[in-house]
Amino acid sequence: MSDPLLEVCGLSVELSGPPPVRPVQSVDLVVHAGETLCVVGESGCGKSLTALALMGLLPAGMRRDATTLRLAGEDLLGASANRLNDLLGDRMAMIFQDPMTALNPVLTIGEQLEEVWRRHRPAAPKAGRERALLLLERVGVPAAAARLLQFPHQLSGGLRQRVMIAMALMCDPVLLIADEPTTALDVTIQAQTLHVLATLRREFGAGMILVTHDLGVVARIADRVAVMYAGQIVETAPAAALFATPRHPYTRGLLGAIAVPGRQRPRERLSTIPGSVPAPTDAVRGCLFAARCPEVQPACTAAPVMPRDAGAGHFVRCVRA
Amino acid sequence: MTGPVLEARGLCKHFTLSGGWFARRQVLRAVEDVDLALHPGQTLALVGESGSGKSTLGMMLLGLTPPTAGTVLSHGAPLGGGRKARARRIQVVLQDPYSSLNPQRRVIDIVRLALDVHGIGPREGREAAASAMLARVGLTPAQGARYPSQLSGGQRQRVAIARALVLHPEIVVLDEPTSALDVSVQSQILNLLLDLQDEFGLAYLLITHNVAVVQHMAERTAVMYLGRIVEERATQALFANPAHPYTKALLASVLTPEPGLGLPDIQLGATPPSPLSPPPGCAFHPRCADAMPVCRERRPATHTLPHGAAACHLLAGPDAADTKGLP
Repeated sequence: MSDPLLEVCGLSVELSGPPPVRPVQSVDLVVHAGETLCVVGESGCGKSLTALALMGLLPAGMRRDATTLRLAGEDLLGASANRLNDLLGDRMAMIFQDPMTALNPVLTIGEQLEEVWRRHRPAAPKAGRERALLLLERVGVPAAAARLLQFPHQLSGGLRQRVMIAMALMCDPVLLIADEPTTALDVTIQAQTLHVLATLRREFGAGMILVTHDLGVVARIADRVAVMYAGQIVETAPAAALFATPRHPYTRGLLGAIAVPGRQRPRERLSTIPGSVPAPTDAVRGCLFAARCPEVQPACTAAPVMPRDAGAGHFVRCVRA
Repeated sequence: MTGPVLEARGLCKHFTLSGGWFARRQVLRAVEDVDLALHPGQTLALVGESGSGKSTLGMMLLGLTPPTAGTVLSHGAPLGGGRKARARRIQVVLQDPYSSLNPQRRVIDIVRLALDVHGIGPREGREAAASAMLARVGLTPAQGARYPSQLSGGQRQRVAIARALVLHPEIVVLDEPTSALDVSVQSQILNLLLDLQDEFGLAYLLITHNVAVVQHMAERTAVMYLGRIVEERATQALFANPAHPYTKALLASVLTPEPGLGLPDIQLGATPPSPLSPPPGCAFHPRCADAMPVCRERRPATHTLPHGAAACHLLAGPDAADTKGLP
């Protein structure tokens, strides 16, 4: 297989203490060119922090730690701050959850799109407007030329999120990171927006990391899936395999807990995962899911559990895998 | 049968918006001419996009906002008697358990307050009644002694449910009861709501955009679009064979966790119309792939269908034949 587009090993995020807390712990990720990797998990599992850490956009007070972080062969850990600023928005771009707060309310849509271009393509400033217009049309914004002159508040949520997608694509990035890009939208608008995102990602040939809590979104868009629990990736697998044969008890619990039309009888009681997620401050010796796991055994709590290769691209952080 | 436990007839809610110093005042028709019936012990789901008026309709049924026109009936008689009397019979569980509980009161006091306000039972017995209801929703006495900020989202939603049920209402309006919760907690809350419905014979008005939850919980489903109900039918019939083009698009947009199906290509246009200036004729026509000239001119009549009704011009024409043999 060709070299991966993005290679991440041992990525952790540390919140300086005392005591220091690690909301993301030794995450390994690989994204190949043209592939969509979904990172899925419940709130607080560290999936958004993982995305921010990849972009180097962690909030103040948090520190990133990793053994490997390479984008298209380039080492990002050793790169200068200037080089990283050059890469952001150009080679790697991010789409945020809430398009209302991610867009600048006092600049027009056109100014915000062109700003990205001017920063990264200063040699051809004129081409920015054409590129902005082209992309707005490609993401399906009606009357694109008029929209360039409008402000974010004049657009609906769905249109704003399309503007965010267009902005991320301005400089033709090789990697897109989308954090819950459609969570704030209605179901019909969500399906349309994801369709636009998936189509354009394919056309531009970019790799994508899509962070979400919605297993329906994951099933429909992912090539591969990483399931996070309490700061760790507990299972990674091709999407079809993850849904057909989930190997980690947490993944099985999550998939069992959702109401799927046609799977349960109406009013049938859904299966649940008892207990709650350990706090990042809790000292857990072995598997972080052990306290809630229906299949727990002594080995689970004896020592930290490492990811195991279950074959066919399936990695599971479970002693039983 | 004693008839619907809750019934809306011709219910309307218009808000007048002042557009600032120089702008004309505008009327927002949030809910327009809605008829609905909720039967004892059943669940009626209200689905639609944000801004479709479903929460406003819920607020009118709760008596929290007065209707511009129309009436609310219970067992065939107008539901009057002020907000407090209505609260005895209709309670609500809101979406966000972080903002719907008073952060300065202990959980047990939050639940007990409802009994105090309505003067139910002897004063000494209220603590025990509140405590029993907390136990019923799965909270321990120790959790009852805590403040909401010390509980998780799922536990807080249990508190909100206990507060609603401690008065033993007939009807509970559930306004997005699980949208703010994680997947693994959602299923716990849905199971609890189903158990409590069976135990207390509650009627639920379930307001949600989560279509999978609707199919799981509700006997009947009403689909709202820009303030009007466009289709109201038995849930099974609606899902098996949606009649209104908007219902079809809504159901097609639901991303079930089935890999391999890919993303649906929904042809609805990028922007829903503004409720301030709803399109003439059928409000859905600008987004409808099957729109005909008449759809731009006249509002569709409501056509009776198997297990319900829908308002669409397509159902009046020769094409209506397809929907005849519905389950």
